Amino acid sequence: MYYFEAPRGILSLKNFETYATLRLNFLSRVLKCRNDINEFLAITTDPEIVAASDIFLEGSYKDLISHFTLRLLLASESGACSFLVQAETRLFQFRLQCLSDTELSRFLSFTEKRLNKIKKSGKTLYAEHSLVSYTQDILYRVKSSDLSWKTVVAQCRENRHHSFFTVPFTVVPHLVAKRIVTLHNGLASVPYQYLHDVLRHCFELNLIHGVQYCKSLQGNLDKRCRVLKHRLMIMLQSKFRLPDFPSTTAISPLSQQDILLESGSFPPCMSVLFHSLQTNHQLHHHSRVQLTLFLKEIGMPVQEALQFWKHQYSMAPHGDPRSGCGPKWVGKERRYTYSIRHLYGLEGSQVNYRAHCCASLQEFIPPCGSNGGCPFKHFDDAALGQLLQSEDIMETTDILALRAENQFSCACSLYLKRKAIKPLKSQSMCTCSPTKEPKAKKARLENHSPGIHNQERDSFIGQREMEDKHWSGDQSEVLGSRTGQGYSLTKTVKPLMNSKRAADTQTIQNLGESQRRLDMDTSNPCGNVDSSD
Amino acid sequence: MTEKSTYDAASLPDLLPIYYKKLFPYGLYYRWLNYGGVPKSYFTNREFSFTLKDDVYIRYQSFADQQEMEKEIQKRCPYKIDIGAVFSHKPKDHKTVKAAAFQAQEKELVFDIDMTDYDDVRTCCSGADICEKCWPLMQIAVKILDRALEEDFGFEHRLWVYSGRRGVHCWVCDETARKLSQNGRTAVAEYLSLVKGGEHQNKKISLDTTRLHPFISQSLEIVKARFYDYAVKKQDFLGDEENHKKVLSLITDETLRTELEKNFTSKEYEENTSKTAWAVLRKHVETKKSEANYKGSKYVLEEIMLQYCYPRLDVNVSKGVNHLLKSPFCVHPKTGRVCVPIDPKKIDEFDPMAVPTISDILEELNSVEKEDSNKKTKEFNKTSLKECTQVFERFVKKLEETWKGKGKMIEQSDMTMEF
Repeated sequence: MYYFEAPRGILSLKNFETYATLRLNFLSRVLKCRNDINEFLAITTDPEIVAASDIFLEGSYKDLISHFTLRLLLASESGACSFLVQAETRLFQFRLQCLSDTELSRFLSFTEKRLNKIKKSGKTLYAEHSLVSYTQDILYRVKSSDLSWKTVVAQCRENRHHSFFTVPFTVVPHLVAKRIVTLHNGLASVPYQYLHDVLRHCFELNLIHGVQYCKSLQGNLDKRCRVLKHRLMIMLQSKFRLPDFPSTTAISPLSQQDILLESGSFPPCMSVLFHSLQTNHQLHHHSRVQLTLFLKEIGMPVQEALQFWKHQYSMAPHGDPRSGCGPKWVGKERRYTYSIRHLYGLEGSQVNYRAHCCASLQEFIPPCGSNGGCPFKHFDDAALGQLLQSEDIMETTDILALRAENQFSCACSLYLKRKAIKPLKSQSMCTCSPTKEPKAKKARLENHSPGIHNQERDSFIGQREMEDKHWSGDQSEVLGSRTGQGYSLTKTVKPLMNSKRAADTQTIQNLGESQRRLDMDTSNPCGNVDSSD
Repeated sequence: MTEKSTYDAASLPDLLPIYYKKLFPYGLYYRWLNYGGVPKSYFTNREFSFTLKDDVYIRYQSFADQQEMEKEIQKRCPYKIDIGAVFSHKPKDHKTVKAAAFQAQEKELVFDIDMTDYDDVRTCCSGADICEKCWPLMQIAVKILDRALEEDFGFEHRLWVYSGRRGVHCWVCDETARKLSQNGRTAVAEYLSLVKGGEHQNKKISLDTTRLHPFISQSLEIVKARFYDYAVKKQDFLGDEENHKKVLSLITDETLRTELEKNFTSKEYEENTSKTAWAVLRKHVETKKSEANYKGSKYVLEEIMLQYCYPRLDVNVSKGVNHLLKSPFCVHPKTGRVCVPIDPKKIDEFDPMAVPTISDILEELNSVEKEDSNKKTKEFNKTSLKECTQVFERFVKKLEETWKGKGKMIEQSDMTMEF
């Protein structure tokens, strides 16, 4: 199940292409299982998958070939890499879960022997050598030096509380983050029940390292490989929104004056920010980034954006006792301008950033005192109650219930649905006739849902939210597990799920590098304009 | 003693050149960021960013060596210098490299504690202001975080710096820390975070486990030791009705809260001091908790104390490998104060108001040079920057010891390798 060494041999071109394609398909489906083993098992009984099952059979030569082929071909595309790492890690995790105790202890013993063999063979490069030592060290620690694998597995199964092994904290970051483990001097005491997490970490690291290595081989890629790679990329892009996928084109530009009008149909995460901006005439850094990107996504050109923000920031906050702060734009114009232009891909690394999707906003950790993020997650009961009340939404129990189960996007869908059926309020400052306005909103908001799913939807509220109740608490689990991230990639992949959410006026999450840069660069595109000092 | 001159931001363009010529500790600074020259490109691939006069901002600055850095800084006289990541290529050449290939690889693990994040629990100041009544928050933050970084995570090389106005930064420079992925950084930051929630989350701490994680209990000890002095005496956090309401809003148990509300409005409360209020609060909570039918949180008082005192760090600052953070020894343009290193073990003796401004130091330098023209004494040792520079020096020396045993280091980093 660990892919340590690439296979050698001769293969027909046709098979080469077929195996890779089938695996890509399979991995896409694996990733869409989210974290549910049952969904995975369901896939394995799908006739289409069963027909090609020898490719997915763990350890078979087709499994090896297809895996390493994908590694080689997708290595240079950061979005695809991210997908690959996440999907393969998820597959590994599922495979682990399918093992019986005996099988697991045999697997561990076998892995240990393999690693020894690789090390002794001396054929590896330095970096690989360290990786091998690293993995060996972890396995050694898991055995607590003298246990047998059988005992290890038994302890994992029995969940005994006082039995644990120690590993460097970097091996189990998600357990550290939640304070599930205790730390001492950089070492985490991990209860045996988390054995799988540790094995998964080794897998991921090994894969990331392997992908890095493949990146260096890209220059010598055979022409036939390049052809296949191109085809695979297209396949991938049809299933997931990758960073290079162009943003919607045929959208009418959103001008400053229209914002107020359109704001009536903003999703709550954005309308909260917008109203805060209108009242206080400033926003915290991250909130500003979120709103800017959203406006960009719904069609606001950079010139309009600059005007809009300048206008907003130049006004004094309403009734702010600290009004001595005065208009914010003065003296910082360059910085804010740079920051906005950066988000539009006109500065710095020139990445065309996409707006945050629901998952991203829910994962966001707002600094104290700032807004931003998903209201269904980040508002406490009082604030959320107020929000619901302000839209005259009377039936709130189900919304609140969904939120209590961490099903934030579902809760939001319900909210939007209820809000939409309310008669238009006069305060929404609508100067158009009622019939015209909803169309304009609809058109704009629909336009940036992923191309492939447009036809399924006639209103910006999808059909399936209500049924899709198992957008479950596993969201936090998935967020917690954070696969595919050893190499500084944080976001989980939830593309299609989001497309069916009403609040997907947010677009699909970027995979990989661009998003990572978003995190890196926009968290500080120019030394953090709200300089904390 | 010369009179302390008042700092005027307008004079920065005149003061900075002298500061950068005579006082900025380039030698130590380079020794730090060079990390012993392993690998050789570590310093040359480091990104710096400058904010110049009139808010002109330039990124992707990099230097071949100390000399070039000195020259450039003295030439540009930046109002602010930020330190970024070590990249795969020289940042100044980034345009010649394919975007996908130019990547941030390593950077110190950093933390930023900003006083404005405590505005909802400070009664004395708000915004960019700080005073001796709220400064204890920083002391608590430094103590709690430094202990955890040292004991829990095993980080040995931690540089704490006063930000010049309203907060502190921490630079964790161990090799493991510098090699941490975004995942790893987020993990550390989240481990250290207890206060969670933005503007719309009133109650930001919930300790809902039966047993507290040792990190929490150890942090609580530190908070408890200082709570009375800070919250009751300095902040008077229960000093009036509005504040009562705020504190009580953190109590989730309805019956307890209503009982306390009644108590606070009763006549015997005319005195309205935090001292009595806090004592009453504690008494009631203890009584309530000992009742058989109490179903509320076991840690009511602890939650209140933590909400008022526990360090508030912005995870987003710590998590990015690429996040640029203000460099030590910058001058804060608004206050004129130098961003000086702080010894975390002596945090209680540190007074932010006593940190010299650039005009102070230049005055001192002038007068000292008149008296003592010993050219050998390093400039900054003639001023009140001396002590902070010593803190910095100790930090750098300690780092230097680690790369003396180079072979040993490679072995260690194999154990905790991040790729």
